[in-house]
Amino acid sequence: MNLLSQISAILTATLQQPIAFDENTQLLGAIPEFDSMAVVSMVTALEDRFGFTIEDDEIDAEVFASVASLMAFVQEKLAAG
Amino acid sequence: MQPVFIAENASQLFAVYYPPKANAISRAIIHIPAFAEEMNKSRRMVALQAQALADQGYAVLVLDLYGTGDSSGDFSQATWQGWLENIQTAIAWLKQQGAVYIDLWALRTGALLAVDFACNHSPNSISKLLCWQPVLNGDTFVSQFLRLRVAAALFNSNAQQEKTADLKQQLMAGQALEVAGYLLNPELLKPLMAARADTNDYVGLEELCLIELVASADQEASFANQQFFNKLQQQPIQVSLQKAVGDSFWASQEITTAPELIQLTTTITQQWL
Repeated sequence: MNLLSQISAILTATLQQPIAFDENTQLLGAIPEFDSMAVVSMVTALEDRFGFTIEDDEIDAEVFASVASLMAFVQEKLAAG
Repeated sequence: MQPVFIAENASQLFAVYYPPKANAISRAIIHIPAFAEEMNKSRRMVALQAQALADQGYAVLVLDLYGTGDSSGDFSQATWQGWLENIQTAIAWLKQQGAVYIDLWALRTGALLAVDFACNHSPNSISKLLCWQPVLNGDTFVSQFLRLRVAAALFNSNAQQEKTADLKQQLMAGQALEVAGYLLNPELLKPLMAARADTNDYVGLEELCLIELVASADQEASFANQQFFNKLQQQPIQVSLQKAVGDSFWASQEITTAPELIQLTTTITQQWL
């Protein structure tokens, strides 16, 4: 499974919304369901799925702005790990 | 299904009681709920499972712990010790109704509370323990819960950036903390942070059954659960780890159910009756 489909799967499971996610999908501030609870669920799901730890100061509005920014963040974490 | 209030000292514990459908009461099971919002999200699943267990012949008690749901007290007054005593009160009530054997069915952090109760607080009082998606490490859970407060800062540009480590320190120092609308009592959070499923002696408990929800049938049980399961094999207790496919109903945005989990649970409890 490529990164986009993995992240889409996590987003779909978290938000319980039938949204077709692509790289241009805006998240924080664009999807009403994408609240703080959803951010925390996403962070935990990403840690579980990819096996890295996300630090508090990495929970940043820019990371959760869009699917593209989220993918870039995960790629960076995977490369660092 | 009957709503009941169970007296405990000066307070009233609210519970929903599902009497056994056909037979006389012999075996009872108490639901030990998840924490804060997770408890609210799982109400429907818990009600469905409780009914299924009662249909099978179980006496089922779905208990609101002190300071939660419709029980007395504010969440900020809830303590771990008090919650352990609530389980004791629920057991006494069920025994008054005629129950002989008491089992627990716990969800998420409810598993840590149930284990603490069965292994340390009241050994030999519980026969079997069934855990849905157990939290095994209280410290990790609290970190994840405190993240709600860290994440809330993303939605408020005036809020200062906080760190979960600092928030934990405040709790350790005895300071109450508000997270996602819940005022956390250090006397609840400190024991929760210290709770570990794998550091107990499982003596006096007959059987421990772990069920993990997975997204698809080909997904393995989590590393943490497998490790816990392996460790438990060295204990004088019957233990199993099983998977059911379904949504994380305790955490989802919309209320969801996991029918396969109910089916699996009912198959397990059928052998217990």
